[in-house]
Amino acid sequence: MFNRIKIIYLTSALITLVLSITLVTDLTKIKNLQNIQKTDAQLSLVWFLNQADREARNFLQHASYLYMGHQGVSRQQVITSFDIFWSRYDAQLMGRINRKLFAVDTGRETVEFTRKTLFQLDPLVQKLETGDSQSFQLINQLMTTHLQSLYALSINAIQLRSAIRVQRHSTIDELYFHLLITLVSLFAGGFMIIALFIKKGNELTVQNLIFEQRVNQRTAELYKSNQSLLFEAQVRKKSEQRSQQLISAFDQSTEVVFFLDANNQFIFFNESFKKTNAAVIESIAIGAPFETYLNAVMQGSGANLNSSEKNQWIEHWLLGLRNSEEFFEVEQLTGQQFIFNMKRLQDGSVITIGSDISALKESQHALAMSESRFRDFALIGADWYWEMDAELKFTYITGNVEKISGLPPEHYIGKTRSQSYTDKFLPHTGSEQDELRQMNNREEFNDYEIKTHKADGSLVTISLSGEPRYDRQGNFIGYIGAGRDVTERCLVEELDKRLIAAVNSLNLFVTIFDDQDKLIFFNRKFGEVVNRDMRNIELGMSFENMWRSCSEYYTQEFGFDTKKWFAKRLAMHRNPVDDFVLPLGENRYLKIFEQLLDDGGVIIIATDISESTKAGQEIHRLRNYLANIIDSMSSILIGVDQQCRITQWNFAAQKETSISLEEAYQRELIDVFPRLQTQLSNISAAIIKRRESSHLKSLYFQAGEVCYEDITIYPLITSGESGAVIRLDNVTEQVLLSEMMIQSEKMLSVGGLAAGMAHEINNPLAGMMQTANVMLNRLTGYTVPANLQACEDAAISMQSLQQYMKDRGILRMVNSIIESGNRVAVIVDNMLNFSRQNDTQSSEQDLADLLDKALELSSTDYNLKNNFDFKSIQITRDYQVDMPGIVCEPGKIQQVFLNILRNGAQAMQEANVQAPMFVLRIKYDREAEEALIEIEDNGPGLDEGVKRRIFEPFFTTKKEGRGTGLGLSVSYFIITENHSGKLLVDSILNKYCKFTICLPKMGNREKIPTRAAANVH
Amino acid sequence: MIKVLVFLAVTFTSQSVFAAVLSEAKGEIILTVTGNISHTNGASNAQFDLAMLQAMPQTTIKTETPWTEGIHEFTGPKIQDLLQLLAADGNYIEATALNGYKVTIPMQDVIRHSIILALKHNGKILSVRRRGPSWVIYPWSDMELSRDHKYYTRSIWQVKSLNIL
Repeated sequence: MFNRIKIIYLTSALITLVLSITLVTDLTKIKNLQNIQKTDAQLSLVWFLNQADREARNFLQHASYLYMGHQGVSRQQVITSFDIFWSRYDAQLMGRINRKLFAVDTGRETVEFTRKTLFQLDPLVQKLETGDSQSFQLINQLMTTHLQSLYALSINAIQLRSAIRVQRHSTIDELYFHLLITLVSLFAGGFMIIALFIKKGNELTVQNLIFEQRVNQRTAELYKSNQSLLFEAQVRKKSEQRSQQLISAFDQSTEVVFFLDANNQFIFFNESFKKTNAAVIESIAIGAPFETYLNAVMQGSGANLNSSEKNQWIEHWLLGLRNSEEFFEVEQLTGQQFIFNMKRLQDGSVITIGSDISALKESQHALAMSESRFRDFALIGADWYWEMDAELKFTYITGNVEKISGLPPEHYIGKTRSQSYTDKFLPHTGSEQDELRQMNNREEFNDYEIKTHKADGSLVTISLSGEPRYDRQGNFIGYIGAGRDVTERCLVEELDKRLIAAVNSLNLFVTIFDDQDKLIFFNRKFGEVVNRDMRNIELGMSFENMWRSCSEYYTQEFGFDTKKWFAKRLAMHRNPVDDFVLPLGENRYLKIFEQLLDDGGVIIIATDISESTKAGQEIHRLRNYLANIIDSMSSILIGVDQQCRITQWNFAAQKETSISLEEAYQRELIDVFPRLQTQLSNISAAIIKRRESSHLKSLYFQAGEVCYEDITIYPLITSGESGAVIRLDNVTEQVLLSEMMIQSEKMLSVGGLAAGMAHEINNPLAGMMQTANVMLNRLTGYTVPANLQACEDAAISMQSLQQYMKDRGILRMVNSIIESGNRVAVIVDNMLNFSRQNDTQSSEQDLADLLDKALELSSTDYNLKNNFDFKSIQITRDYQVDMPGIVCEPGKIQQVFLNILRNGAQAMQEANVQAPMFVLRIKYDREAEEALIEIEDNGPGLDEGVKRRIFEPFFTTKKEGRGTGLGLSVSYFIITENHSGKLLVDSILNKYCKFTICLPKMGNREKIPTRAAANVH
Repeated sequence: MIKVLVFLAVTFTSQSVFAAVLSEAKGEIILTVTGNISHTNGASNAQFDLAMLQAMPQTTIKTETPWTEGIHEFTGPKIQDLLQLLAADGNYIEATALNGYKVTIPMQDVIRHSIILALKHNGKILSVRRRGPSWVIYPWSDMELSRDHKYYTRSIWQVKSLNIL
């Protein structure tokens, strides 16, 4: 086998070697081929040779043309073609071509020869001229030689190229052959190796199968032996476990367990046995005789028993062992009572299991004792005693049962409880069932109450107690029990319950504290309130603690003032105070009542009186509210009783009289409010007749001013007492306003009338004036031809006519007519101003300027007419600096100023005022958007009557003939009608007179749209 | 690999002077440009003498060439500058040599390879014998150029005229 593998390796190595050699050879061939290709691929010599030949011939052609004198060929062209020819052989520029050329046969020689030729040609070419046959011959000769050598070189180059091609082809052939060999050897080697591997693989598979079979066999054998070993180990382990479990079970058991062999020697004993016999532990050992143990026990028992008794005990034990008694009871020397169960096995060994029955014995004893005790005890507290058997039939009954039921004890014996009832003695509905359930469940019961009817029919409550009885084996053997008559106690308890229910149903807080001041009761209402969110109070807490809890609760709920009230309430506890009211906050109040009880306890009853307190407060609030309303009224309200004494007095009354309500209260009305003197009779009448009476615009004087008030008296009955309420309303303003309105209306109507009249007068006046003027013209016109003609016709001269008229004063009269007519015309013209019609245009004006001009005009005007020195009047100007322009008609406003100034000056002159002065003020009210012009003099002023009529047309205070009474009327209409302004007069007699003109900034607005419309058209 | 080193020799003659006026050739005319050009100084062509070409910004290319051994230095104006000067517009340049040899150079060669019209070779003015008066030179040392044979044929020497197509 080894040899075979060696062959494979050797073959593989050989094949690899052959392959490597062939591959290297192939690569070399490829490289060669590449080199040949490269050589061939470089700049082809053909191109060079072709170009060189062409350029040489070109030069020769040019040279021959020049030599022959051919037209169109210049010397320069020949030289250029020579240079081109030369450039082909330039040593520096030939580079690689050189190398290629040198590779060709005669290449080097040809190049070197050509260069030599070129040097020879150069001087010949330079001097060549037409017809220069010598030079040309030389050139031709040299060029021919050159061309021949070049030709030879071309042939050689072509041959070289052919040789290269042949070389390339042969190289490719060789390469192909080598590749073929490589491929064949590769295939052959590959096949051989694969075949060898397959063969070797088959052999290995066969060997492997044999080996595998052997291994499987061996494994199966091993597995089997392993399994048996495992099984054995498991069995052993289980049996060991079981023994261990058994021993552990015995050890943990409270029973005493020991095994003895056929010779009564210990084979096994458990922990309990060791524990029980701890005193004689030395005598107990595996393999030790049991008798040794018994002897040891006896020896250890001390002097309690004599030797024969000891021997007897040992004999008893050994006898028991021999007989293998099933239940062998023995008392150990420790006093423990044991019962042993012994079993002798087939091989003679004994297994013994013993139980400590000391506790059982003791419980049996205790039960007997308990029974007798119970009987004694039951008889002491109970009215009767009873016993029942397992079927719950009475076996024994004694005592006063006859007194309750009216049936003798014998009646009950042998009957169940239900059987013992008769028609007269029977249980109350529902009671019996419960009793049976408890007894059926073998439960103990105490103070179980059932109601029955006595033999005489009265209801009686019986309390029964009983407990089940069991024998030593734990079997139920019946009940024992006692009964009592608790009718009276029940009645008392029920009464208590009713009382508590009643207290709980009250809407009061009731708490009771005992003599130790511990809370022993609180009613449901109190609990519901205070323990609503959390358990604040509970039974058993002291008063102080309860009060603290309550205080915290009240603080949280109502904002209770703990600081103020906590200590107070604490002090009041057990020191009762009548009507103790505790404010809890938020208008909540508790009325607290405490009563000490005979047993030293205390009962506290708290009543919520918030609602009633709230009603009181509401009334108080309402009263305040009403008082506020009355006080806030602007009217004076005075309440009086039947004797006209003050009972009510509002704030307006206080303000009017400067007497407070306290001061005025119960005083005579006349004392505190004298101006109602005249109304006393009316007040009395209103009270008596119970009828309301009113007195409008009653006049009174206050600080020298005339005032008006409306007085209303309302009769009043309060709480059975009569009285009245007097209301006084100051109506001065309204009265004055209405008077002013009447005045204004009057002015308007008079103005309209005057304007109408003026129109009517104007027409006839015009005719009259014209006629007068014509008359004058006809009487005085000396040059008028018509006049002269008329005189001539009448045969009078103009002079004589003149003389006549002069003598008779006719001309004077006619002039008088014209003058009067003019005066009428002025009046009419003024009257026309009363109407609104006006053609003049409004424009923005500087009022200060207008006023100053008017001042100037009036001074001149006055001086002329009255010889009055206007300059003696002191003028004070107070003009606002930033006055805006005011839209008005300047001429008319000036007229108004003139009128006022003229009147003022005249009045001052007439009154002979010592230091006459005008104070002129101009202001602008931005809010109202109007200008205020005040013209004040210190003249005699105006009395009330004059003041009221001053703007009426034709009203004048001047001497007859000096004034028309139209000046201020016209002014009034100019301001109010034409400018929508106001003209006011204010005066105090003998002190001053002040005219105030208010002009709106934008003039008469009513006119604006009209004017705008006119502009459009 | 020898790196291509391109040196820009910028003369201080302002190009804008040429742009404004193409002066007359005073010396021997060595280059005639025809075709789609805007600026001319002859009958619808532009004629240059050596001085005019040398007055333009000169560029020097140090490179190997397929015809020479070792590194050589070629100096002359960039063809792109020349075309700009004449405000030429076209896709090809048809270059003709003294011996009538013609090649067509695409305009993208001019733009991409900054080819020059060499007037000097290793600092000497090119004569016709040394393949002058001008020679189109590519930066051959650029691998891309040297690999492609077509560029060899475009590198025309003894250039006589350029026709912009």
